[in-house]
Amino acid sequence: MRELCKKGLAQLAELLKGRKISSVELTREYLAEIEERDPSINSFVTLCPEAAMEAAKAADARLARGEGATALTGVPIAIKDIFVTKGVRTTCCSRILENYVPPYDGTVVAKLKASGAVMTGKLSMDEFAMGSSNEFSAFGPVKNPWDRSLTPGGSSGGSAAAVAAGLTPVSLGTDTGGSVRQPAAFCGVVGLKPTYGRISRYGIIAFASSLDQVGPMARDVRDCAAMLGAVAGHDELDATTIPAPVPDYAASLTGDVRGKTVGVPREYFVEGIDPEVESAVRAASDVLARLGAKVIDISLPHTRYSLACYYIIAPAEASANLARYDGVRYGHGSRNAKDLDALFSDSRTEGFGPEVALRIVLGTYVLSSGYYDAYYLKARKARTLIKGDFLEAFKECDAIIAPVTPTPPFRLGEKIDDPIRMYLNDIFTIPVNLAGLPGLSMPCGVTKSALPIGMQLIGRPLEEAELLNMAYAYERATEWHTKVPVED
Amino acid sequence: MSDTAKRDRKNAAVEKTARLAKLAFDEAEMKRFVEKAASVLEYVEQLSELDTSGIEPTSHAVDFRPVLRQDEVRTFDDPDSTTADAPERDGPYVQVPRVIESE
Repeated sequence: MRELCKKGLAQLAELLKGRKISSVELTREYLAEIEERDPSINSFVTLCPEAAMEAAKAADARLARGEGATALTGVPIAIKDIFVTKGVRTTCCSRILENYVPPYDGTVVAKLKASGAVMTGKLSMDEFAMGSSNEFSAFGPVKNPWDRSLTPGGSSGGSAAAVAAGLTPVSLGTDTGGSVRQPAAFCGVVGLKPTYGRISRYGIIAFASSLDQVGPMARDVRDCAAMLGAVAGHDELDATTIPAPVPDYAASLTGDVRGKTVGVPREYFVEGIDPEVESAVRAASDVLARLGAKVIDISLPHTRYSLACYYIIAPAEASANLARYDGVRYGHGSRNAKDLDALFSDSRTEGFGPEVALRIVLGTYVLSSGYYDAYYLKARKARTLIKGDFLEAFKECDAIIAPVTPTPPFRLGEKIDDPIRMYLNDIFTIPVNLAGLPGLSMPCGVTKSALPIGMQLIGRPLEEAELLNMAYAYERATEWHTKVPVED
Repeated sequence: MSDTAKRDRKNAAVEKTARLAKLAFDEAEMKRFVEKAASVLEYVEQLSELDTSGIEPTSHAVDFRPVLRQDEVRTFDDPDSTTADAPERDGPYVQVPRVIESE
C-alpha cells in the first residue's frame, strides 16, 4: 500500500494544511491505489478521476490562500453509490439506474463539496441498499479485504471495504437496518448510524424513508467524528431533519467515561450468538468498567419481534418508494413495450434484481386491502413497544453495549438463497433503526481465524457526541482499531 | 381451511400482488419467488402473538415537529437536464408508447 494511503483523515488534513503535500499529489496517489488494488475487492462502481483532479486543484488553491480550510479540504474520499451526484453516474447498484446521471447534488454531497473534499468515485452496495452481504449489487459482489472469500457485509459493503483496504480514508454509507454498522463490523472499521433526522436524506435514493439514515465510516473514532460534523444538521429540503445545533464532535472527545452507566441487554446474548463474538463484546464492557464506567444488566424485552417488525415496515416503505421506477422519466426503459402497461412491467422486471423484487412484492402485499391492519398497522404498534424498551432502559443507563452481528463475516454465497438466514444477520442492528436511535460499530477483537469482530454502542437521540466519546475512550485503551487486513 | 389450502391461497395472493406491482416472472421463477415470499410472510406472522391492544402505532422514529419552509419559486438553471435521463425523448418531452388507439 502506498504510504499516504495508510494515513487517516486527521493526519492527511494536517499534511495538507501544512503544505507538506498537495491535494493533487494525494488524489493521484489514491487513484493509482484504487486502480491497482480494487480489482480484487470490487468496491468501486464508478471512478471520476477527471472531476477529482479538478476538485484537487481547487482545494490546493483554497489551501494556498490559507483560509476556509476544513478537516476535509483536499482529502480524496469515496461515497456509497446511493448518494445523488451531479454529473456523475449514480446507479444504486441497480440495472434500472445503470445509466442515470443526476442533474443535481444531494445535500450531503453539496456539503462535502463545500468543505473542499475531493470525490474519487462511487462505492458498491446492495441494490437499493437491500441486503446484508453486498452480493445483491448488479455489478458483482464486493470481497472482504480481510479474506476475499468472505462478504464485506452490506449494504454499505463497498464503503466499508474501501476504508478497510486503504482506498479511501473515510466514507459515507446509509443504514436502514444496520447497513453501516454491520459492514463496519465485518471489515474492522468504525461506522456510525446517527439519530434519525440528524443528517439530511435529500438526494439519497430512498429505500425505507422512516428508517434510512446516512452514516460516516472511518478507520478510527476521531475521523468518524470529523466526518459526522461535516454532514450533520438541519436541512430545509428535508422536513424530517432535526433543527438542533451540530456540536463539534471531534472537540468533544475527552476519553473520559467515569461516572457513565453502560447497559448490557440480556436479550442480545442469546442462543445462536457466536462464542467468540460474545466473549469479545463482554471483554469490551470490562474495558469500559476499568475506565470508570458502571456496567449494569438491562432488558429490552421486545427485541425478538424487531426483525418481523422491520420486514413489514421496510418493504412497505420500499414498495411505495420504488413505484417511481416506471421506465418513463429516468432509468431503464424497456425498448419493446407495445403499450404503457407493458412499458412499466417490462422496465421494472428487466431492471430490478431478485431481492428488490421480493421486497417490493412483500411491501405491496402487507399494504394491500385486507392485510394492512394485520401486518403494517400491527408492525407500527410493535415498533412503539420496541422504542419504549429503549426509552425505559435509558432511564437507567447512558449507553448500551451489544454485539453488532451474531457472527463474524460469512462466506460469499453462504446465505444468498435463504432470506431469513440473511435477514437474521441484522437482528442486533434493526431495533436501533426502528427506535431512531444513534448506534456506533467499532472493532473490539479478532477471531481465531484473524477476522474482525465489532461491538455496538447505542445511545439516546442526538447523543452522538456521547457515543463517540465512549468509543474514543475504548479505542485509546485497546489496539483493535490498529489491526488492518494483510494485503494480497 | 386446511394448511395446504391456506398456503395455496397465500401463494395465489403473492402471485397476484407481483402482477399489481408490475413485476413479471416466468413459471419457474414465480415458483421460487413465491416460496421465498411465503417463508418471509410466515416469519413475520410471529407478530400476531404480540399483544398490541391499546398501543399507539409509531409514525415517526424521533418525536419532534417537522420544520416546514416557505413554498417559494426558485430558478433551476439547467431545465434540459431534468429530461436528459428519459429513455425516449422528443425535444423537451418525454415519450411513451401510445395509450389511445386512433380510429
